[in-house]
This record gives sequence, C-alpha cells and structure tokens, in this order.
Amino acid sequence: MLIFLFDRGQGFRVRKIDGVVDFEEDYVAELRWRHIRGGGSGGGGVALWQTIKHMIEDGCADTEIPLPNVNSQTLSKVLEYCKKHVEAAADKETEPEDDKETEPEDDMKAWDTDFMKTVADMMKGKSPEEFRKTFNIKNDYTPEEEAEVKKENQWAFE
Amino acid sequence: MADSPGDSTRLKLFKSYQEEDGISVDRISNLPDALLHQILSFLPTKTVVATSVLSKRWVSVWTSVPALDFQDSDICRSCPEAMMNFMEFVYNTFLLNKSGSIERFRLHCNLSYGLSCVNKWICFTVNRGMQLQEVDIAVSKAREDEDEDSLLLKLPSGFFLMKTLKILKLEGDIMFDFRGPISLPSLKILHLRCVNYATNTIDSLVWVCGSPGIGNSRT
Repeated sequence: MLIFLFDRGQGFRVRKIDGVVDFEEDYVAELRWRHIRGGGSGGGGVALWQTIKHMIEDGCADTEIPLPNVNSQTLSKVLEYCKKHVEAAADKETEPEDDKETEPEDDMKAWDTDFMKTVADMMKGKSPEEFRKTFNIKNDYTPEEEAEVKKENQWAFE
Repeated sequence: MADSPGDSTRLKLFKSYQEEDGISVDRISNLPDALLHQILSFLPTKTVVATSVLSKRWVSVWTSVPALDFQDSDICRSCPEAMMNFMEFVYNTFLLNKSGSIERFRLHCNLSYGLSCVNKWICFTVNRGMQLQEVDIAVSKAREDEDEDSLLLKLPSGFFLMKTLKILKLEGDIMFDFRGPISLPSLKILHLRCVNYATNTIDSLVWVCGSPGIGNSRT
C-alpha cells in the first residue's frame, strides 16, 4: 500500500497507489511547509488520522481521501502512520515465507494500540459533562430522554 | 490527574485539535463505531457505560465494546448496598454487552461476593472470549485475618486453555490447583503476584512458563 500526499489548493489529499513503492518525503515536507506558510488552520489531530486509517483499512479510500484544513502536527501524524504501513507492507512482500512474516503485523498493531490508548487516556476519569466539554459533544437529548437513559443504566452511575 | 506539566501540555495540544477556525468541533462522535469500540476498550467498563448519556450517537456504542474492566471500591467490603450495586453492575454488563467476543478482561475486586459468584464471572468471560488476549485478575479475601485455603479463588478449568491469550496477570488470593490440561500457545507475558500454589502444581506452572512464545514472566 502506498499513500501519497499532494496539494489541491484547499488542503491536502491522501492518495493510495497500489504496486508502486515510492515515498517522496522531500516533496511531502515541502508541501507541509507551504501549507504552514499559507496559514493553515487547526486540523483534526488524532480523530482525523484515526478516520483516515479506518478508511484505508476498510478499502473505502481506493483513490483519494480529502484532508481539509490539516495542520502540521496532524500531517506529521498521518505521515508517520503512512510510513509505518508502507514499511510493514514492504517487509511482508520481501519475506513472505519467513517465520517472521507476522512480526510487522504485530508491530503495526502495537503501534495502533498505542495511539488508541492515547485517546482513551483523555477520556479517563471524566464525568459525562466533562467528557462532553473535552470533546465538544453536543447533548441532543431532551432532559426527559437523558433521564430515561440514565435510569436504564442506573447501575453505572451509582 | 491533569496537574502534571506533561498532561497539561497534551491537553492544550488536544484542545487545538478540537477547533477549526476557532469554532469547537465534535470529532470523536464522527469516528466509525469500530474505532470507538477499540478506543473505549481501554477504559473501565463503568466509564464506558456512562458514555450512553453523552448524546444520541452514543446511546448504544458501549454495548459492543469488546472489553470488560471491573474494579470495585474499598467501600464494597463493608457496605452491603455498595456490594449489591457492584454485583448488579457486573451482571448487567454481562447481560447487555453484545460484542461478539471479549478481547480484554480485567477484574480487580475482593471476594466478599462469594467464590462461586466471582468464579461465574470469570467462567462467563472465558466462554465468551473466543478472542481473549489479555486477562488481568487481582482478588483479595473479604477479611484480611482469614487464613484458610478454602477461601482462595480457584480458576475455572477452561481457564488454561485459552488459545489466543497473550497476556496473563494474576494477583492475590488465587489458588493454583490446575490438574487439568494446559494449553496457552499464544502466551507472551505472565505476571504472578502473591498467588498461592497447591502442592504438585509447580510442575504445571513451569510448563506454562515454558510456553513457546513466552518472553516475560514474573512471579
């Protein structure tokens, strides 16, 4: 799997090209710089790259994934992720018969797990109200509905 | 918790991720379910269930999280009501969790709920956890002064036959008395703290430690 980033004027796009292993880091770095200089606004961070990762794994990202308003921190996360996957895929291709075949896979999993743990850590020890505030979740329950949900799962709020 | 400098820096960084042109954006609710399930699987089950009140999007997300993480509080030793609440919480979670298979299980509690009760919880998880990868059980006797072996927790017979189990952590008043078959082919990490061994079982333990993948064992 190869992931390629380029500028479309409105932000970055991730493109997947199968069968070609070519990761043009310099080009990407330049784009990143250009984007920062162009005054890119805040990006999606962990949530955004998680979404991208999911789209790629689900095969919904056959051609392009738009990345509007990405910032440099996000982009470097995405890049790190892409690079890891490219390396893992390359390792797999070169040693298909080897016993170590599963290792890059395990390595990837450990790496992904680490990121999910980071998000989970941000949720730890928070009341629903604090949780909503941290993640900007809009409560769309009516007070009656909320009371009903609380009642159903009463045992978790004691 | 958020007082250490590392945490506050991370929090600031995180807050910047949550904004777009100065407007707060809810990114987490837009993540696919499968991803939310994975993220929530690192949290205590109580926190996970409490996410149901966040918004309509979250009402049933918790029911498919492939992990169970129960920890009682010290008050459960002395207060019957707190004890009942914890038991009800565990049973309700078992009944309502509809994830196909449990991958992670953590149980830290005292044994005042009764050995058979705690055993049932473990049995239930072992039977449901076709993909169980991580098990962490720490139990303590209801009263410190009790000294009888009969009050120790014995693990169910299927426990040492978990094919996918990678990490096993056991601590406290657990009695190792496994005379049945043992097969933990995927085990990589084994931590045993302050557990009790029945006579003649030390061989079995050595056998567990000699499992093919094991790289980190502490007793």
